[in-house]
Amino acid sequence: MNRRNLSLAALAALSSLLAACAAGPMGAGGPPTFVPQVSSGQEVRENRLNGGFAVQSKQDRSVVRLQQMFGDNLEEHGALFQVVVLNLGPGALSFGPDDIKVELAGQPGALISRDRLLELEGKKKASSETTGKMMTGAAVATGLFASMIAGAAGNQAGLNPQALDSAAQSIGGGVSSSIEASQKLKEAHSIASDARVELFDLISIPAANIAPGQTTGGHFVVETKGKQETLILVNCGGDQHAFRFQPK
Amino acid sequence: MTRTLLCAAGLAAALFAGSGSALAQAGAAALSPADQDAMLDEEARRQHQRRIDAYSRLKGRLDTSVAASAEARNLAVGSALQMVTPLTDIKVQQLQNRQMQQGYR
Repeated sequence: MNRRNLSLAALAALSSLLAACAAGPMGAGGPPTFVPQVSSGQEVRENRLNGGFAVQSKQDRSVVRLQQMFGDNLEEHGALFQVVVLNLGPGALSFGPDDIKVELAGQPGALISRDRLLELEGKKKASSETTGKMMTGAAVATGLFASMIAGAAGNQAGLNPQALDSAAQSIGGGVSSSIEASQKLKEAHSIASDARVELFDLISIPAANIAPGQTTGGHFVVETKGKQETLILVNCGGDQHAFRFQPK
Repeated sequence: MTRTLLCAAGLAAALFAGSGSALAQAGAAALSPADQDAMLDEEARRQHQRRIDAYSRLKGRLDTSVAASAEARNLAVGSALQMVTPLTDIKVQQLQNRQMQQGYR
């Protein structure tokens, strides 16, 4: 009797594992929320479009506005920022993602490039495949386990062959449902992953020449590693704008 | 005569280009802080719109994994229940058999 209770408990644990696997990749946490540390020549501006706050930095030849953005699928890989630049200089200036440098806790950090994004998404796809395999494995193991217990307990309980067949069919249906779920999940992760790369292409900063008195802008993702003090340097027509952020 | 005309035209073009460039330079330097803010606001609005457009185009695909995760979770829980239910039925039957053997009604 105790043995059977133990078996049922193990079965319940396996089922919980199955459900946990279906919840998606484990340990996915968002980036920290950064609080800007405003320095000389900078000020905080309210962004009426999204209710957030941007830091604006003015120097001789350029004005740069930077704001952390939220609610974006790219945040799975780091902190998303929007940058807007105005050329105050006498000549055209070139501006692109290469003009932005990052330091995390005093050490060189990185912006996520398209290649890096593909690499990260590749890892994610591999992880979801592992999750799918785990789900399938857990479903099959649970099914086998359940069949064994049902067979043994059913005989002990004096169940007729029809009742035992019905139990086996029910268990088999559960296994195939779990396998179907894991396949669907794998496909869905792959579709979403491709869409994130496309999103990156659509919103990232284009490399551009800015005429005097003109603006440009776009988004970039800083590859964050936990809660670290972050320095973002924006080079623009010979000016260097330093934006300091403390994680909340 | 033709050469004189060409020289005059070239000189005029050079002067015009120079004045245009000077105008652009003066324009950028002469932007008031309010104008600068307005231009940055406009660019921020453009980038905001760019992001909204990108989302509306990709929303269905971006949300696929969220929807599928929920569906997979439901299926997994459902299938686990499907596997456990016969065992529960058997356990109930065992208890009933034992009660009958012990003379309970």
